[in-house]
Amino acid sequence: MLYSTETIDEGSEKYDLLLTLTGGFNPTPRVLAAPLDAALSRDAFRADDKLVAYLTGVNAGAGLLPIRSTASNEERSAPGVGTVAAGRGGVFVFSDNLSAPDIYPATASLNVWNAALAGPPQQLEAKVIDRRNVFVAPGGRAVLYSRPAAPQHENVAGIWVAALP
Amino acid sequence: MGEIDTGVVSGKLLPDASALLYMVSDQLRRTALPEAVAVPVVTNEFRRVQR
Repeated sequence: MLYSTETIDEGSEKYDLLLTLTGGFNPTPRVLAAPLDAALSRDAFRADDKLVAYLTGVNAGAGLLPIRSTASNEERSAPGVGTVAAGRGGVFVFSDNLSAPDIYPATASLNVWNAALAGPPQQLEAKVIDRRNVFVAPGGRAVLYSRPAAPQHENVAGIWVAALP
Repeated sequence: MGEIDTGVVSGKLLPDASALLYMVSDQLRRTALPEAVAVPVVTNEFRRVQR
């Protein structure tokens, strides 16, 4: 289980972040993030709890995305992440490359990353509307997002579904 | 079933209903079910961060 000991709300909550097993008393919980530096996004754990994902140093809606093994504490990370959601296995979907917040519509890139494998994240969509409009379907087999009109998409905007690995 | 504990703020049942995790003040406690035998998991400064 993830928990904090200190929280502040500056429009969005920030806290320290600790990880502990819940089978009994644990005198040495694992500290994942420093005080008031962490935030959680849509999903913190993949379904079998083997990986945990969170954000640190969030500024203007984006921060570093560490994904850690709950068993070994091995960490991989991606910068500039807005929202992260968990799919199946070690698959996470996240938005990055956020546009300036004062330009409408706010856009981001959408990426898929199997953090259980050695490879880097792969871009799923170059431009989606709003970094927060990223929803993984129940079962983790697909992701829903909104895409703006663009010539390469026959100028059709709308809600799109992409299969996840 | 009887009373599990007093001063409980919130709780979460494990998916298999074998145990309950719950908050009392700034502690996280756990009890197996259906017997109510509470043990502390986090003894102080516990704040829930997950929805």
